Amino acid sequence: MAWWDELSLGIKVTKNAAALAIDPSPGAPFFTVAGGYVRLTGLLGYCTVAPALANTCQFTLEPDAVGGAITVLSAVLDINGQTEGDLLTITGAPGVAMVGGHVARQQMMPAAPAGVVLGPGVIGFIATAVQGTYRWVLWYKPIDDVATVTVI
Amino acid sequence: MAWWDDLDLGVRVDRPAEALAITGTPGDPYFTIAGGMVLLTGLIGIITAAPGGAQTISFELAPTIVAGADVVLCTPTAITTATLGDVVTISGDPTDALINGHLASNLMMEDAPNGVALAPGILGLVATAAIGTMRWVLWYKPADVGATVVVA
Repeated sequence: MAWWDELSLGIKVTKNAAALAIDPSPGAPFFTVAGGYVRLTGLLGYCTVAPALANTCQFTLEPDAVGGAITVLSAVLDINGQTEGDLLTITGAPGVAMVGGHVARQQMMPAAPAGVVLGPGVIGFIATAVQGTYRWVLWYKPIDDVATVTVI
Repeated sequence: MAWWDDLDLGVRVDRPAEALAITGTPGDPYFTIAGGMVLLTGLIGIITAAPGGAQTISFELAPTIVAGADVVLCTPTAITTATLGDVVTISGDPTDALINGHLASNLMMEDAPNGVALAPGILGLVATAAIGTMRWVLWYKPADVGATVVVA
């Protein structure tokens, strides 16, 4: 880990726009956390194609550890109503729904300004319909020296 | 984006002092966001000539995307009592009023310490009267490579 990895929100990882697919828990694999623990400091989705119908979505973490429990990073949100250019994010509180709506402005992780600790595993995205296309930007800081987050 | 663009509050953009003009939603164009998403990390206004009468202001984002919806960065607030040298700012929570009062100090983005994500568009200042003169300082960090904020 370089010292500059600790600057600002840390290391940025981008996931290209892709259509959402129907995926129950633990969701479609979006990002891999490997090598140790990290602090998730930002997770932002940009709508490139509007969902036309209801699509209830949620982020999860499926730990690598045998016996690990799938945990949610947010509560569910129906993203129907978002259009191209709208933003989707999480507050950092797992009991709070993802934040969406027909808005091009979102607060960044207001409930977790120092980040959300994640163990090694896969960050997944649950969706209930084939509706909407999004690109994603994730920021993280390694807690363990060799910990990384990569796009799947 | 240079690595130093991520230091502290990021890149600073100054808008010189000018008289406020009566402008309805989505406001007088003050700053242009282009090239991708940014994280707004600070926005302050400094009174250079007191309004001396009733004046209510707020900030909005008019997205570049045609189907995008104008969204507020704060709710309107009266700056009637503000005088030379007083400071106004936003909390980062769009449901909070612009923070002001006859004060030369204010908290910076207390409800969004990691910033507010903004899609490309125009940041506009809504004002109800042609009284008062202010200068503005905005800070941001690019969320997408190539994203910028410039004075409109």
